Amino acid sequence: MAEQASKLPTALLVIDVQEAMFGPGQQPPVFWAEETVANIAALLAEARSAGARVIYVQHHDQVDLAMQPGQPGFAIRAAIAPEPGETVIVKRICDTFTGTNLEHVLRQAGIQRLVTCGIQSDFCVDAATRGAMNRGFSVTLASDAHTTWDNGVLTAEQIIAHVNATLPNMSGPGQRIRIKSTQKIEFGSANVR
Amino acid sequence: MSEQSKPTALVVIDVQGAMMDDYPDDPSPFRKDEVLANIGTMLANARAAGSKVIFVRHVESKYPLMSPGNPAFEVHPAIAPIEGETVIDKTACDSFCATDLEPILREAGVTHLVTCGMQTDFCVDSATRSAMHRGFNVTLATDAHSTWDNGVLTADLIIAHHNKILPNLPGPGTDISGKESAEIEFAPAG
Repeated sequence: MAEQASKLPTALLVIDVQEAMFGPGQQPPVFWAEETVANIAALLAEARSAGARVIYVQHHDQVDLAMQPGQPGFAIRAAIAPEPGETVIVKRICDTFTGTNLEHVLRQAGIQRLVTCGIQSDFCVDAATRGAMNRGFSVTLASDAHTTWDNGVLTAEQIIAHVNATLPNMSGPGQRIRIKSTQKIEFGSANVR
Repeated sequence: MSEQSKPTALVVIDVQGAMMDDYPDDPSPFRKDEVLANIGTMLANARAAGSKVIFVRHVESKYPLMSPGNPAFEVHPAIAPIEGETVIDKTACDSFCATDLEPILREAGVTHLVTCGMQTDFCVDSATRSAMHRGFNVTLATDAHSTWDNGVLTADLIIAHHNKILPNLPGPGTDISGKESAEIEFAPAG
């Protein structure tokens, strides 16, 4: 089952990994910042070598001035910057599928499976992962490549564990969400149509 | 903004006998009685105001108790629908996914949803996010949804976490707010 899913034409969706998330600024860096970036870099390397599609999402915040286009904080984290030809989608809304052409881009490319990672576990990563499942995509969440901040109720570590425990148990119109650590995630080429 | 300008629907999610009652190996959710009582309060207020009332039921065909035909599949008797109220069955977590919920709400001119029910971290979270992303303003009844411990967090922490995060999601001009059941106002809807 798992091997079959991993052969589907796949896109790696790197969500909101922007410089403003790493300080210095009004907020401290996200939890496990360097580990998360290193794991996303590993996913990117694997996806690129497999010929999977790579799509970055950038959040244009409605309030936070650091997250406006043109600001240094808006840029995708330099260590995992897009390569020429890779798609970058700007969103203003939590769910990456709302108000963007992401679904159209994926359908046009014949993508059937998404691997999700990025920031924040409990907001845009959760929303994109649920959103993809609800749209009928096979989805794998990279369990060690998403992060967040403490929120006053839970620590970031608890939030990450909660998201990892919850999403795979959710019913969708088709397959359930899979959860795997970065090292175990395989990518199917997006070039076979 | 006057109440009349925001036709409201109360959406009661998955409050079925199988979810709420005590079964061997499947105990009642956290603060069951309080949640049922708070939903009862909102139902009374919504009905009195002429708001739309919609019940959602989850079908999980691999569990007999969650399958149509089983008495435990029905909405919990403590908060049962009255004649003329809408009941929608779903198989996906998100109440909007592959159901008529959105067209029913649009048809009734609803712009504002109040969400409550089961489970906090699954179908209540999904419906609340989804409604906001589809352009509805949403009030989450913070004391009228529940869940179970999940091995990572206790139910009370899960509830507190979702009450904390959902009102902070950036939406498409619509938003989510969290309020206690008794504080929630209802406006009439077609």
